[in-house]
Amino acid sequence: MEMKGLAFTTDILIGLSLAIALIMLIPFKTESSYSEVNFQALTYQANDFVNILSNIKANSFKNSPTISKLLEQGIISEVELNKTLLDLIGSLWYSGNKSIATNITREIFEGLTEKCFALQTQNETIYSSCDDFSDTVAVSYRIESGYEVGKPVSGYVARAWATKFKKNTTKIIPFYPEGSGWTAQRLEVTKSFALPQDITIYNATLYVSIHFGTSKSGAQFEQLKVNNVQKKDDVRWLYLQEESYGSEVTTAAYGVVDVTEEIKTGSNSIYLAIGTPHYHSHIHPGMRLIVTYSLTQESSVGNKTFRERYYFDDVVGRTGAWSMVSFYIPENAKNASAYLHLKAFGVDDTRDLLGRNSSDVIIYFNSNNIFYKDGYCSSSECYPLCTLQGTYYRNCQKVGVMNPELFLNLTNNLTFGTNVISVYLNSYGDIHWGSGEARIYSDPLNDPENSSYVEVYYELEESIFNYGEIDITKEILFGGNASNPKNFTFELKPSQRNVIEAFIHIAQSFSSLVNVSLNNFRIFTSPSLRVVPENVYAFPNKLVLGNNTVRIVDFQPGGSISSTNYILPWSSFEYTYLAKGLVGYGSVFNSSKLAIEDAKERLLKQMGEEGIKAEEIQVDSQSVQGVRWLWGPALFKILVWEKK
Amino acid sequence: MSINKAQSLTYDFFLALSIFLLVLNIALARWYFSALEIQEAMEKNFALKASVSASQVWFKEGYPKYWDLSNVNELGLANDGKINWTKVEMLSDLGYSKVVSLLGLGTYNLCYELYNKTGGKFFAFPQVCSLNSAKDVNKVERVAILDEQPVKVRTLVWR
Repeated sequence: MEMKGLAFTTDILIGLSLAIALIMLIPFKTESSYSEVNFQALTYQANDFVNILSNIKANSFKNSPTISKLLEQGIISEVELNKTLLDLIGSLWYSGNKSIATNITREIFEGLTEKCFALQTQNETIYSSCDDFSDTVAVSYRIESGYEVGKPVSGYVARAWATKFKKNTTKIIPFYPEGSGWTAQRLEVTKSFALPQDITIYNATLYVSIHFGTSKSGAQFEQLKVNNVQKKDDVRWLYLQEESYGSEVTTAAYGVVDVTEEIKTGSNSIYLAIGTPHYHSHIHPGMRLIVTYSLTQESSVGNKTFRERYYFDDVVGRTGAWSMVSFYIPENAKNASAYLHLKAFGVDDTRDLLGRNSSDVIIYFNSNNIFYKDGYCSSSECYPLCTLQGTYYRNCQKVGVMNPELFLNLTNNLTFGTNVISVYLNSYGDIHWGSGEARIYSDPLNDPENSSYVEVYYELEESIFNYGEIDITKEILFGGNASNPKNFTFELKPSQRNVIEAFIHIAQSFSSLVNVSLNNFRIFTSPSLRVVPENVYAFPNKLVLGNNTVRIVDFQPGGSISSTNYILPWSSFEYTYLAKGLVGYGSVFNSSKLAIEDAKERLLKQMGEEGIKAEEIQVDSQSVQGVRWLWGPALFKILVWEKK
Repeated sequence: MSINKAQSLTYDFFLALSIFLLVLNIALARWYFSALEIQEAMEKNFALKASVSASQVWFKEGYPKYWDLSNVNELGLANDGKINWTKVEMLSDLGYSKVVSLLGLGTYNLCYELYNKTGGKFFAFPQVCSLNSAKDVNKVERVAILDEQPVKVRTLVWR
């Protein structure tokens, strides 16, 4: 028993020894925060240095060897001593005086610390007290603005502006959709307009969009005279779309003709005569004259009030005549008003089968409902109840001939954006009646007061452009293929950010109703059948810098997309933007002459990029002291570390 | 047989006891020195923290912002990022014990010294800093602004 007890005690002692030996393997230590606290101390010191540079004025070191020498040599003035040390070091460093900046930094911190430190900016070392970094480096940052590299902080600045300039711009003169020339009878349209006298015309292109006789035979494209010069044989047909309805074969045609030689400054006229053997000839959307010219102007301030007349084209139809004039009211217009003056000749006064006075003058305005009629109408589609003769003609009893003159106030029915007024004489849609010719009279150049027109008035809160701003108009063709719908994407550059007016010119062969969207915002919907204006106002506030998208869809009254009413690639986007004709104060120069030359150079470059030539320039030069020229903000870093 | 067995067991026992005592001694010695090291490291950490914290006095405003002898709650010798000399002069009026107490330095000793750019000492608190019998001396040097000039601030903390 005793022996057994001794044996047991020995086992315990050996086991305990092993246990103690194992316990000894466990490390005995406490977690030290010494290195962290040490780093904290380095960070404080880095902050101290930044604080010194940012808060002490250079004046405190005016007796230091480098600064006193700079003062003595006149490289810096007493004024410069009001800057902080960091400002002074930065300005010297960025003006290329790097060794001076290094010396000043060294002199500031000399004797103040035994630690290693460095001042850096934009990955360049201005000064470092030690060559080698240690593993632990504390960094403190400060963002500072300074003086432009290499420029004096005192000197002369200048600005310049053009008081007279020559610009290249574009004017688009639309032909409104209008008719009528029924069954081989002639439609005559005369567009009279004036261009400024003091311009140089570079190019004039006339796009012709008409519905006339067949392309195969009997195509009654009779006259196209530009200032009495016959151009009909010069038209290059770009697109012909023939449609047959039984024996009725007609063609929608789109063509182009160069009329640069014929269009002149001042008064111009374009005369068109067309017909179709079996149907109704008229102008389709997209007929327009595009004139590119240079114009010398004096700088001025834009208007705040606008009164503008949109003259009808002179339309002589057989039988009946119609025209569709579009105009616009800007989205920011105040006190807008408009009225129509219609002067017509040769309108047959007719009676229907029941002896009622037919409506021989019918006017629609921004709506499918009749705005004005001079007789009986059974519905909004104002066809007289008369004997049918053929498919389209109604043989009504003629009781006389009228020369109506109307003044109609349109104000209450105005809308922001595109407004369309449609005037029908002895006709509506595909139906005509009466005999002889009816005329919507317009001769804006020789007889403006008696012509037919819409006069629009509105006010803007601010001038459309300010002094020194120059309006430039440009046009971009859609391109691509004829299609329906048609999408068009165009880019507005940063220099074109200030668009004040924009239009979409719709070129179509056949048409029904259209929806026009700009950047997914609906800018126009046809209020009634065939109300497809030549130009649709594109709200400038819906335009964005970069890519913009226009989408045009032709649709049927039932809502389905028209299968053959294509939007043609010669549709276009017209925009007027403001270019700058002035430059502000620029860099600081040692002489007024240099500052003025710089301002002129900047102005010429800026205007030249927009194709504008300054003809007379005014300049203003001033002396400046201590101007801060921001070259940054730049990041300054103070690094502090222990010596190795 | 039984006598031989008893002798053999006694020998084993003494051998095991010797090993046990040896291991125990080593363990006790290790424990003792480790405890000393830990104590020393903790004190070093505390001293460094205390010195860094004490050096911050030259860069903070204290409470109240413009304190005096009667209302000081937190010590700070700067205003608007620069040393306020009025506050510095009040240090001696506050007295060494009060300053150490406000800084929460416990049994540690403190000394502040200010040097100009050329290395000349122009201020010390207390006026004489005796480090003859000092242990665990910690020194933190900072750069502050006094009267639009950079000055070196040396803070010493020791036991």
